[in-house]
Amino acid sequence: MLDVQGLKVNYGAIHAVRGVDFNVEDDEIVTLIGANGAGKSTIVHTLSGMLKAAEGTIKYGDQDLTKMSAAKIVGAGIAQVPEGRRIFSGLSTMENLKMGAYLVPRNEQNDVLANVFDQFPVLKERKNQDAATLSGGEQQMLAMGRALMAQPKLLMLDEPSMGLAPIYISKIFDIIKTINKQGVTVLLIEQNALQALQIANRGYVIANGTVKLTGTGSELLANSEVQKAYLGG
Amino acid sequence: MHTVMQQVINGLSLGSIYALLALGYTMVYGIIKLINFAHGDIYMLGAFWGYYVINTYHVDFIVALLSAMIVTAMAGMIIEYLAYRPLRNSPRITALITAIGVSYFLENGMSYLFGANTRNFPQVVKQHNFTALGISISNIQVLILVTALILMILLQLIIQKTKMGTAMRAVAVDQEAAALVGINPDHVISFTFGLGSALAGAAGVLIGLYYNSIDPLMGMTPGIKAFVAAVVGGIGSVPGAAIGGFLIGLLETGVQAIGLSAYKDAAVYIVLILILIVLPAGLLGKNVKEKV
Repeated sequence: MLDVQGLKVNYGAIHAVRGVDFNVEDDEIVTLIGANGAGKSTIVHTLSGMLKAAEGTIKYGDQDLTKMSAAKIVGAGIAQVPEGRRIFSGLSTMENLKMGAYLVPRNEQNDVLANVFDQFPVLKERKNQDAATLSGGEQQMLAMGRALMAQPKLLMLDEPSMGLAPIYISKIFDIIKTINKQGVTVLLIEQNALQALQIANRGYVIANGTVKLTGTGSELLANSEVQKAYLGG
Repeated sequence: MHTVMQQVINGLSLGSIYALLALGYTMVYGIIKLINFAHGDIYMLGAFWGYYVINTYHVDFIVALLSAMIVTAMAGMIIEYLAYRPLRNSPRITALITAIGVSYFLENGMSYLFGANTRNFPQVVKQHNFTALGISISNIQVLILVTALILMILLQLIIQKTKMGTAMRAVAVDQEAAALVGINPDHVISFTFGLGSALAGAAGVLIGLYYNSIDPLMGMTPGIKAFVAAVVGGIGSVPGAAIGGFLIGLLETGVQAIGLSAYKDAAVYIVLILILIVLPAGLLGKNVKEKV
């Protein structure tokens, strides 16, 4: 589904991503784990068209994402739950969700909305509330719901558990699994390596802008280097 | 009491012009954080367009108003495309200086092409004065107020109820997050310029009717006063701009009424200074708190 080859991304003179290869197959959950500053978020921003690649290709089906605008990439079926949630404050929960479906024809929006409300009943309760008044966990659900409103084939989540209470963290990971079972491929970027690897089919360990290790979720969980560096073991 | 009421009527008429202009300032600022100093000149273009179509094609008020709105909307979008869009990722001061340049370009371009002289705006609506309870109101004042109120209600409906309006608010909050849901921020910014410029164009035709005289530099002072109105109301806030516009109009006519005509502009700037000291965010300015 997604095939990244030789990806390099620079911030001015800083080489944030220095030649990364990875791929995501249909219906998988793939996770990129690594420390803060390893280059994970840079990779996601490049996939979503917010940053330009210096070198390399990002193939999505037969399209090259490096040549597409952010809006086109969403239209092609890739939605993102951005780091820090980035919900539209001042807009109601409902308006946030409707903006998520910006490119979805109006007659299909109601079905998608019903699905999102099934997944996140709390959003239905809060649908007329200013999104800024939602709690952190609720805002994370709104950010996920908003991304799902675009009916993505591939959902990218950037640090969805960051800053959340433990009760919400396990809930968020459960929901990611459910979304995946419904046929949405997931690319999960996490510092919370333990939880991410537990639900992932495969994972990539990113360090210093390169892929350091790769394997199935259980292989990486059992790997002594991973345990030492990322699992506190 | 009569004179007070009379000045309130006059102030509201003038204020509705400032309010229409202030809305354009505040919307553009809200979405790209640019003080568009060329906005007053768009209002001048609207007045000249009205002058031109009424004299040449003898159209009525409604046609003049609507066509001026269309023409100024296009002018605003073209200016945004040519002058501001290439500077989207430049420091804000660069765009601000460019806006001042665009303003001079429009003022001097119009003077060069059509002459700098003052013209009489054709009185497409014949003036009648009504007197009730000792207060004199002209039909033109009523027309200005009603037109301005209708346009403000329409604007509010567009911003609150339509998809494009919601996208405007979304882009204003977080342009990157808006792009990540598939909104093209360039389209939304262009639409915002068009909308704000259309209101300025309408204000230009209305002021032509009210003051009966137009010239290529007519946008300078009202442009700055409308900017003050937007700051007083809280720049970025749409209802704030409307309220600020009416307040500045009332203040100006009030100062004139107590015999200080020579200081009416100074009074507006004093208010600006006071607001910046006492209430820097303006009356309805947002103080957004972010949840982490």
